[in-house]
Amino acid sequence: MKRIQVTRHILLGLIVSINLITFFSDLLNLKTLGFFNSLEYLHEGLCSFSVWLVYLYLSRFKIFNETDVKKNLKYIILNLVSVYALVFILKLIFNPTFIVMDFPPQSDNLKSIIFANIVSFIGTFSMIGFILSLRNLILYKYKKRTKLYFYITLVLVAVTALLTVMLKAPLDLTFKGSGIYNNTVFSVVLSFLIMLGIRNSWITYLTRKEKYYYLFVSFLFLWAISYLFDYAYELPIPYHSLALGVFINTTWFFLLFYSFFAALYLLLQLPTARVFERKMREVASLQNLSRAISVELDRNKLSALITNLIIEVTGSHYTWIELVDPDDHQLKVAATKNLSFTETSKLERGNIRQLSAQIMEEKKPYVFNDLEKESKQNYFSGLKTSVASLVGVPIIGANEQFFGILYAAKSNTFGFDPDDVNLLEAFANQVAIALENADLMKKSLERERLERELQIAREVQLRLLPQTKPKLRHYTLETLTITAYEVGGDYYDFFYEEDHNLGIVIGDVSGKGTSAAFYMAEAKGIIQSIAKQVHSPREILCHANNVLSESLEKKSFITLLIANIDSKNNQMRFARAGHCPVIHFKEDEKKVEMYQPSGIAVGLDQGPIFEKMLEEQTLSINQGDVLLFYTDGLSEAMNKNNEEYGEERLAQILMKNGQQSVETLTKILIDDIFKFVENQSLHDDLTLILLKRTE
Amino acid sequence: MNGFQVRHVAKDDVSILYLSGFLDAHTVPQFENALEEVIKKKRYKIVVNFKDLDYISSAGLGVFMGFIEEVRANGGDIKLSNLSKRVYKVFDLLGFPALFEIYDDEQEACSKF
Repeated sequence: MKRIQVTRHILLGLIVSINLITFFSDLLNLKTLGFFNSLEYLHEGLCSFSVWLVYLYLSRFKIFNETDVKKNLKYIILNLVSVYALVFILKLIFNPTFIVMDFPPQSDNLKSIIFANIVSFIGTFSMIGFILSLRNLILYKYKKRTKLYFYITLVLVAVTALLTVMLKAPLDLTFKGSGIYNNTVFSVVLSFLIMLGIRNSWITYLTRKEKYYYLFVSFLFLWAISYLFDYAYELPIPYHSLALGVFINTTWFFLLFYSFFAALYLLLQLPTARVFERKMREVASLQNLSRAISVELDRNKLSALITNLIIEVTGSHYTWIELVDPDDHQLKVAATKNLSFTETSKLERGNIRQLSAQIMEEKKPYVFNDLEKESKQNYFSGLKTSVASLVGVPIIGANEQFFGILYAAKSNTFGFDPDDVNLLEAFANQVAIALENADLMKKSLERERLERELQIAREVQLRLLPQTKPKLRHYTLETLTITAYEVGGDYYDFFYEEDHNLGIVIGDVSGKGTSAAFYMAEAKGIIQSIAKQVHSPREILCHANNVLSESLEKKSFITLLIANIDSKNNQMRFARAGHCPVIHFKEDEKKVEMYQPSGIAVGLDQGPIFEKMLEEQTLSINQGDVLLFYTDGLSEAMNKNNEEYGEERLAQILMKNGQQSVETLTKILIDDIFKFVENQSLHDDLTLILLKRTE
Repeated sequence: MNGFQVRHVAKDDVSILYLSGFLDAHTVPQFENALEEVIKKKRYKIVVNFKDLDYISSAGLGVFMGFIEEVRANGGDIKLSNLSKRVYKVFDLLGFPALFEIYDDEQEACSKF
């Protein structure tokens, strides 16, 4: 920043000193009556150098590097106005006179010399300012050769200046005498200027209002520019310096061409301005929309956004979106614009429903440009708003799914042309895409949520199971649980009454997932607390049923089996509430027995039937006997032919391997089941408890 | 997995639902919807024919529990018929015979209303 400041000051200092030098040279010329005329090349050189320095100086200012079109236009106008004002004042003060008999013009008084010098100084700054501002406009839409043409022109201007200085012929395009050389180059310069002059693509992107405004301004400007040269520069500048005259003259031509073509373009673009503006807005709005729909998932917020856009782009007075409610499949207004809440609810219940039904059925847009004449129905009775034209476009997704209707209305007749309808259809398509996206997203979120829930349920379930194996004298015990992919409701637990007394609970909660896990937790708590007071398995189950049947869902139930093993008497009491039977391997008799005392599952009945049905059975356990408790995941494990593993196979395994330890027996059982199901996956949890009397 | 199908046939004031295939946690909603529709029509005399049902899981049994209260409160019943041995075993294990009337034959079930 500091460096730029310094160079700016140095540049300004140089410019001022050079202009002072040329001023004194003019003065000397006057006093000595052209004695120093021989130094004129030096004089012209210094003037040209000064132009270049001013270019360097001004291009360091931010306002001459502006990319904004309107700001550049403002600077150009300001520039012109200030030049006129300054020259006007200077003319008043100095009242200059020039002798125009010869070329370049001459003067014989001090006042005119001062005037010429000041005007040259101002003119240089002003014209360089113009060039820089125009450059910014031309480069608005950068084309391949634009910069090249710009610099070629600058070089050609320098050549013209040099020729003019040497030949002392005016640039009047008359090609007389020696004027032929500099005028030829000059005409090439002019053709380049025309080429640059038509680079005004910035005009296209103005709004319609701005186009009108700038057209008016450009006419004034053109008029003002055309007089500028004659008024301000024609005499004083060529007097001061021919080179400078060439520069300023060329710039003036450039300005003239540019403003002429700009005015012409503005004029030509006026008829299409409205359409162009609209297309621009359409593109922008569709862009906005597609950006919005990729992030917005809430259908109401999305609809609100779209109604806003429709108002903006189509100039509709009212707009609303009706969407099919996913719950009751009725059309409901999802968003409105310029309609009050009461109007909306009237609309929802009003005659428009017939039109909606029609659109829904035919799946094509309806357009009314004169609602009163075209439709027998009064769709908007009871509404304060007056509607004369109406468009209803169906919102249809892929697979012809009907999402809803997008309505736009205007209070004037013939408010919607085919373009409008096309645009509304494009909007409706976008809405459909957005709604589909939102649905998909919702579903995948939902799936994710369910999966997480299942994960939690699985963890809860595993934590509910006993973490350690119970110990009972003279007995060994082994448990195994294999969970299916989806959480099942298998459950087992132990409780002690005394050292020699072990309670075994095994059960299966109907249903899966979180609810099963919760019921399981509830059952565990209840049974653990009842077992502290009541000892008979039957009574524990009756109490548990009383409590649980009240809290269980109607269609949920729990199968439970509670067994109480007394290691002193080697007896087992048990009751079965709808649960799988107990399988007993009798070592001494070498046979297997299956016990299925009567009993219905917990939760199926409030109490009376449950209690009536539930039986308690007692059996003796001899040394070497094995007892197997299991859940239906074991007996109902299925192979690919949908055959169940079944109790028969269980009994056979026990029969054959009853002498084995519980650990080995468990392994043999599981191996056999997996051999049976082959590569079918388990569709339910599988739990087994093996108990063996060793002594 | 095999599919599951439910077919509704009205015989006088008795609605007969024919089940076939696999009734498990995945197909339960289908059966629930069918039962719901029958009940919505205020037809409370229902016979469920299990002749072609290959398998029923505990979730399938839950469906009956979900509706029986409402049906009985309206003077109707859900009676079961033509259970295969395999299906009956599941019902029996859970103690359903104490709660539902189970018949060998559809005709017999219908006549018990």
